[in-house]
Amino acid sequence: MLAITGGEIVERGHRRRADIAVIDGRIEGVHEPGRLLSGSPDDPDPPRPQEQAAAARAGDGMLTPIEEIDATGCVIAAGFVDLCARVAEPLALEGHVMQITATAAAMGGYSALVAQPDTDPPLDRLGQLAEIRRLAASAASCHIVTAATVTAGRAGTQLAPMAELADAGVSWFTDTGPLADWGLLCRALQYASPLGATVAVRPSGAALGIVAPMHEGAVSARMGVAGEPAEAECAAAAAAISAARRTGGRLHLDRISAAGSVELVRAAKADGLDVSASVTAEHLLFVDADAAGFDTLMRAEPPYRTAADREALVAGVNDRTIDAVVSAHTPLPPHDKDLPFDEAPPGFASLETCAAVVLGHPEISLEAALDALSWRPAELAGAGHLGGGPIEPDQPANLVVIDLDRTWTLADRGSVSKARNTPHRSRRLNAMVRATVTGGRLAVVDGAPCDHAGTVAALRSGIAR
Amino acid sequence: MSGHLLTLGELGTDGISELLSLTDRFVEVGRRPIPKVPALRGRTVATLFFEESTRTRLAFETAAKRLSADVLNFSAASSSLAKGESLRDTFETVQAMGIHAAVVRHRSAGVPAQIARWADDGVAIVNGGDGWHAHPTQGLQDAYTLWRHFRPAPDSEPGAELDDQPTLAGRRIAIVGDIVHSRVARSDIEAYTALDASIVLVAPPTLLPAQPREWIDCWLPPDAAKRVEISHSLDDVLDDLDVVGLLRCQRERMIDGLIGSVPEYVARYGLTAERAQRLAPDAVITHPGPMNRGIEIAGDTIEDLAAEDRLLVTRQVTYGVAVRMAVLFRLIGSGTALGADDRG
Repeated sequence: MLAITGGEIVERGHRRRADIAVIDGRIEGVHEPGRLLSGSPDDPDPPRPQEQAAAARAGDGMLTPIEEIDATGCVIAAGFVDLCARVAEPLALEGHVMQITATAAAMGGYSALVAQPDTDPPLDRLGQLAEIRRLAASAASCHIVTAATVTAGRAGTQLAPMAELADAGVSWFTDTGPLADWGLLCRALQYASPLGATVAVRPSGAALGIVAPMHEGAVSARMGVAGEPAEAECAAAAAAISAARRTGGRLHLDRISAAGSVELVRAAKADGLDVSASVTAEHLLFVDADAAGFDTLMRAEPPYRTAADREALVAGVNDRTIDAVVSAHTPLPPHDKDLPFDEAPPGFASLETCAAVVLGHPEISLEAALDALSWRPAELAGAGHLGGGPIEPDQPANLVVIDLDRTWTLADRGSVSKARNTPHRSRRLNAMVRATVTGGRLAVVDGAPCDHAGTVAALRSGIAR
Repeated sequence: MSGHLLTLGELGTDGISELLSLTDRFVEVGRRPIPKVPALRGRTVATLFFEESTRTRLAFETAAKRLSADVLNFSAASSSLAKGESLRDTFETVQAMGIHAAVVRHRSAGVPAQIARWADDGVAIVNGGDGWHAHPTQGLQDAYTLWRHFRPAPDSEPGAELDDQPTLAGRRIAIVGDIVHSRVARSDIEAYTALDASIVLVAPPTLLPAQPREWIDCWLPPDAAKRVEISHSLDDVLDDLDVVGLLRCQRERMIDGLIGSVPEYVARYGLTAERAQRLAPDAVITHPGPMNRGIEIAGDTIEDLAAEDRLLVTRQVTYGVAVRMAVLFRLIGSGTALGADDRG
């Protein structure tokens, strides 16, 4: 049995102090504080049900060892769900990529992530799905949900076998980028509609033929770097929303970055369209001026935009116009960022920091952060059983314990991923994931990955606060 | 001056003035029978040209040699990816050979700034032109050429100390052409405004940044920004110019759809004979070279202006060596040893 004691459970619209018992992968019970583990000697209660259950499981009348997480002063929430992460790891042996990614995700509080299909080759057919799922099953620290491409080979010309893939359980389709062909986007939305699947597109100037390493504005003009105008993203977002309006399909706008896009999503929702949107945590922090020194770590996809855009994104998360904050985890080999600014690939390794950035963001409320990290993406991905679900008896135990008063840096703590392309290496983060429970198993304890063989021993040595 | 020269904006007015005064002394060195001083003897200057440029490389190499430095030349394909080697690997290899300064030229903006972050202490990085971003030594040579042309005693005694800080106060300078893609324009703007000149940028909107006013206002100090105007008509601004700074017009811009046609461009932005006539009689012309005859400037206009000594292109090149001597001396010189090289 696993007991999480002393924390405050935060769910949509309500908070309560309670202890949680987890047995056999499920939440066995949610109990009044202090009543779960052997309490004060004058407690007259009879043996508690969970102890009976544990004893029954042990089969010999003895209680099984109890793992306890002291969550005093911490928030307990449903495990996070990442709608956009790349399962990749530089310098790792192939078989280990899944495990390292899953462990990194668990360190960030995720119990589920939607693996982007922009692998090589792209995930666009059943055969690869089976292989990736086999590998994913070996990575217990985080559930890895597979997305598939919208178009065959991500080539943007013809649809992938979406129905077949949907029958096999895929519900998220994305080419992890723009779909330039508007007619094809309409057909994808139509085709996906009876399958109950979501089509995700990243609105990008690339759909309009504009590819540039940064936001077009006063900063790019000073730097002499080509820019992608915010209006190009808005035009692509408007085109995609028009396709959703035309078809009634379920559209997700992946990683918006411009204030205008936030406004378009707000209007689409007001019109009752089935449109959702996401943003990366970094876009809630950084602006184009942060790249003024040609720091390749400040190259992102989409690019960081102006202060006004950043503020609109924060407001969008707070008022739920933006449904989800995604990690867009893109670990790169170290040398990739040692290239000229316009040649260096964009992206950051972010699974371990994303939630901490959002939860510790001074302008974002706790409920908005949990909505964007946990509850809402779980609904969008249909992954409530893997993360972001209700904290109630008999529900799968996907939980995260967060210390909102703990500051830390990645440099001090170290990271699971070997990738170094993070802008947070020495930045202070204002919230820390202390523990992650994935499918009832402890994946992270006290901000460190949990080796299951040694879990109990490690726990008995005490969780230092 | 910090340990590097990446942009002129970092130097500020004082830094630029100091380099121009120093340039004056190296112009004098250049007129000696043996135009060489031992100032940088034992120092090694590497030229890292990831983008080919004969003129700039020659100017730096000549400058380094006149200061008695050793010169290491390194040329590389501009795409590091193609070689499978990162920019950093390439630089660190050269740095490991033991250098004191590296002149870096690259087609990508920001490369000298990146390399400056990887440089060991005591290794100075000089931006030899990066993408559309900056070309500070060109900006300095243009500013020096104009300052020297306009100063009250243009040919004062060789080596004479000047009373005043270099300034272009009150001068009105047009920069005409493809501004958005021009590192020369950006460095000229920084140099001229730092020296108190007024500037008018003349280009069609497609050859300017998208929001030019915002660009200028966010970039330059407020007092400098307010001395920069933007115009889409050369005819409108011609009358009261002291300097017409022409930029090289790249033919590919037409292919990119930024201008309708070359004749159309020439008709509106070229320095034609008629426009040259309308200029003030003492107005001068600069061009970073090489000139496209018949595009930026009409062929016979070149001859006419040259005959009147109003085309400063050759002087820009001459002073280019002295400017680069000043930069290298300032960055890695000991601060002494400006005398003639007694060992020849």
